[in-house]
Amino acid sequence: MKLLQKFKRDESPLRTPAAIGTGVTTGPGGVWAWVEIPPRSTDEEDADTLVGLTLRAASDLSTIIPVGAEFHAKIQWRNASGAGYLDDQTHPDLTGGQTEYLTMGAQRIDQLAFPERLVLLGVRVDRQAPGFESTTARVKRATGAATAKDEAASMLDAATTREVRTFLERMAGSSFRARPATPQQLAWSLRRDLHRIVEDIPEGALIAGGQVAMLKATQVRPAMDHVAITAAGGVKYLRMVTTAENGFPTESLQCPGGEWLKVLDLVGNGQHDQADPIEVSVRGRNVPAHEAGKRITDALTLTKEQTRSAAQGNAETAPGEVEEARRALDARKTSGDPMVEDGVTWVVEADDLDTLDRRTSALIDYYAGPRLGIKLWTPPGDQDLLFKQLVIGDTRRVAEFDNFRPMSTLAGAWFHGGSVVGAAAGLFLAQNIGSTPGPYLDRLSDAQKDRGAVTTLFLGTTGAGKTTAAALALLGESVMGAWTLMTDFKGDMGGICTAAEMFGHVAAAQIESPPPRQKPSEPMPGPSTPGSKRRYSAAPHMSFST
Amino acid sequence: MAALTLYDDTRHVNLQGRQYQLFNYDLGEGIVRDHLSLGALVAAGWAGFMWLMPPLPGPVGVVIACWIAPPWLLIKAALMPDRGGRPRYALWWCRARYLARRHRPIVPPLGHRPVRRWLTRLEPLLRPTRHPGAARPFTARPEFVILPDLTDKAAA
Repeated sequence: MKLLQKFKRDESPLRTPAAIGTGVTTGPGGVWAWVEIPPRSTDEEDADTLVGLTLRAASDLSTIIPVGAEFHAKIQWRNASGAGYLDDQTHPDLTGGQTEYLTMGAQRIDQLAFPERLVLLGVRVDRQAPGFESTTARVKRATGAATAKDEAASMLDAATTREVRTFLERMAGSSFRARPATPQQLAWSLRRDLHRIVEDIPEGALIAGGQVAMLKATQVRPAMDHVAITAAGGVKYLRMVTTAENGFPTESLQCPGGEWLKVLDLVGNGQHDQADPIEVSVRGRNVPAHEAGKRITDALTLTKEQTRSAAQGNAETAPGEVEEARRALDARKTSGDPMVEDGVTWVVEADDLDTLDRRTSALIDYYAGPRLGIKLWTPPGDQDLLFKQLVIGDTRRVAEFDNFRPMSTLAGAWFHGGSVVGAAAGLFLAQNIGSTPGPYLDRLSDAQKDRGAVTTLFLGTTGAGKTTAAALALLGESVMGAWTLMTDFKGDMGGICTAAEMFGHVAAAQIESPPPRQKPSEPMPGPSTPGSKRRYSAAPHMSFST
Repeated sequence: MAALTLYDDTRHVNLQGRQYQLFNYDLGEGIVRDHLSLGALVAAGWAGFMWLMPPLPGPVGVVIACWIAPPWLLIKAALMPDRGGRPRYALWWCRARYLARRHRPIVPPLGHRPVRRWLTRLEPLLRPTRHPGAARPFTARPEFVILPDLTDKAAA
């Protein structure tokens, strides 16, 4: 029976939430508490800091996720919205030129379609969940005395609500600085999985019953090696990729360098195949210490028995993997690291099967590379179940590909890091092209309003774009009404005055000077073209030199 | 520079035990116990099948080959690794399970009320008046409701 137990699957119907609230979903799949883990700026951290942060994150996860509880982490990608940017920046006092400037930025954000990462972490906390189930609930479940509908209705009682709140509060106070997931985010995640729609759900749309009903009705057609979803925009093909048997290296992954969920923009092929970043779903369980200890002890016993048996026969010694396992398990037993068992699913999406094949190969090849050495594959015949377990509120269905490891290995995936830079709100000045891409927003003059540092330094190597960055930042500032002075002795900011004038700011004074006498030692020599000259301009709101 | 090793113990706890001796017969470098169990299962099944069959005509060599070759080939094929590194019988099992369930819709229809699986299977006995093939009536309703904000302590 042990032979087939490994291939046990939960083939029951999909369990989607029956109710969604701030930081909570309930339904036939139980009550789940949900937080959004905001991206951080960790891409450029040094090794010591990164190791410290990883250990802190592992400790937080192992203490905040209740012992024995099931968790679900989801990484999905939305598109940064130009409308959202416009809403943030618009106020009644804007002039026509300022509105035009902001609208242009919003259009550019929409055009660039920045993938915006959303990381949700959920924990099942109802009293029938693993780690919470009471004896009464277990008897009811075993005898079938309660229907799933009744269970769902009575699940969110006072004790469970307390568990939800505790989880939300502890995650907020942890190193993740997590926020309770909003109903919009949860509904979006559900719709994304079932409809493959990227666009945000606007505020207020969830109130309307008609809108809500549309969230779940969809046609999902499973096949042996993929799942086809018929959505409004056509058929989308999905392939669920997971780890092969013993696919993770036992000890060659290291942090920094081995963050296996940090970069997910993997399967695109430049201009020919512009793919969105890969979505990932991690379902697992915070393994209780006694259970982890028993698994380790059982495995250790087996290694000892194997060594003994081999010594008695012609083999004389057991294979090297036995000794390696014994050494590693001994170390793990001594360290008492909190353990987790988790199954990771990478979701590849395409409009046709050929592209799906190519993107799947690209993903598998990337992970098999020397940096990570993780073996992935597409299990045929399990695609429908792997798809179901992507959806929030559902349950673990395929445990065969689960990994058993210290929590630090999961935290070391760095699904919660990022390349956040700039302000939460401000003018759209540049593109962030790190692991969490997006529009770079900033208002230099806002620092003064907030009594923050008013000095901004643009640093970079030659040709990095310091002048362009400064010019664009100051152009935005001047358009929005700040006093601006630019001095450019090199003459490479040409056109800034003209650009500012396009948005209604006319230079009031223009100063031109003859070219200075050039000296060989001058660090920034003036234009050498005969007849060229410098111009200085001054305006009520800005001054430029070009 | 400090570095943190990201350990994974899946391989260690899933270690497959080997049998080095069987009935005092030395098996050399050992045979994986799961493989041995599968082999015994297949061989016993085949032996039972052959036992029930009428005696095979032909030379003794062919008869012996008929007893040995099919289970041997089946075991060999079943233990070949698939792309995921599992024995191929796992793949056959998963494919067979998929073919058995593929007619079921992944997304439950509107108004679907999940019940125990054994209740569903017993439905023809429990509700014999239902005409075979009749559609289950359902009410279209919003798929989920919006809960009050649990994080609002004042409201709580």
